[in-house]
Amino acid sequence: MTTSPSASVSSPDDADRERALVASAQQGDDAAFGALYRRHAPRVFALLIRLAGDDVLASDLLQETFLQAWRGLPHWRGESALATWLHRIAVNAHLAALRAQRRRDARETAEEEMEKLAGIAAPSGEPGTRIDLERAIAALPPRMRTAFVLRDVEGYSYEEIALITDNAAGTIRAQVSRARLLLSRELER
Amino acid sequence: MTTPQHPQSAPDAGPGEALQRAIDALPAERTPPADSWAQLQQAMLATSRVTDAEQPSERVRTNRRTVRVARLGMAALLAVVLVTSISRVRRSARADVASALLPEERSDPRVRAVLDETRNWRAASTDSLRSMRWPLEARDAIESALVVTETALASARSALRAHPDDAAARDAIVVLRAKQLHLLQRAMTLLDEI
Repeated sequence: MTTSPSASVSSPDDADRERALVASAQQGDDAAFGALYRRHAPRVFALLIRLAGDDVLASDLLQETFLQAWRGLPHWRGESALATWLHRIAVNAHLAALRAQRRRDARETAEEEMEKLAGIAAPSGEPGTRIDLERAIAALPPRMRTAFVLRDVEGYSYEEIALITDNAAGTIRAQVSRARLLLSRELER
Repeated sequence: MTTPQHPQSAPDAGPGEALQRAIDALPAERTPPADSWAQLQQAMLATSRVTDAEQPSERVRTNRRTVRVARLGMAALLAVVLVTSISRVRRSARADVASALLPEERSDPRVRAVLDETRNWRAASTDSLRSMRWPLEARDAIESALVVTETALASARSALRAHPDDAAARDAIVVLRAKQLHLLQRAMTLLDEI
């Protein structure tokens, strides 16, 4: 499902409607902002669930994302699609949370996380189903999960991921490669 | 002989057929919790939009943090002022007798509450996860206030041991304990908000 974030706008009329909503929201119309929220929140939430691996944390990040968007909207010039902008805010919110988490969990080693991954294999069900993959993605170590989701689910390039996560592209490639291997094994169980 | 490829230069083979199928089956959208818009509206109401372009969210966060630190400083200062005002019982104060409770204190639920809260404070301030964002100066102010109150308490106890009918020293203990409890509870609430 590697899709463009701007897929939330599906037709020229829709794009016009969105531009009008953005203009109103920029002028302080919170009802217009609410309409934009209803339009984009489900896609952003799906992204955040995959990045965070946790529905509750994803819900917090969703709120943080749209709160930042609401604050920044008056200055937003519309140089990209709104969905792309929201997408970037969401990824940044996730990365900020990840950095904070990393400081807190400095003692948690990659090996422990791997054990967690091994222990969370789907207990039953058809191999290769969506629920298997979502559970397996959620069980990946956070940085590996971020790299995998941005690359293989969201379609970012390695260079883009390296830039926004402040890592070397080689590191990102290695993380994605390892994630693919682990996830493929999980799906084969 | 083949040369191993560096991950950075190797062509991207993609996720593989089965994994790609599973990825394609992932839903593009997920319904947010039912109350998420209402919660966001509350957050919007509680937050002012900043009109200048200079690091808006960071500035707001810094301002809030400054206000909280100031409030913490005031709480600590209040405790110090209170303790200083009970100067009569401070003269022979020694911090090393702070833990020696009077027999009647041992069964006093208010004292137990303070001791519990003090233990919570010690645990929280050594818990790197919880205290990560606490300003050092605020933590130091609270610690100083605790030392001062404990020292004054020790003095009051000492006075009571010498003169069991010293009502002022007895009152001082009650007041100091109440203030100490308030300080600890307030400090942790404020620090956890940062």
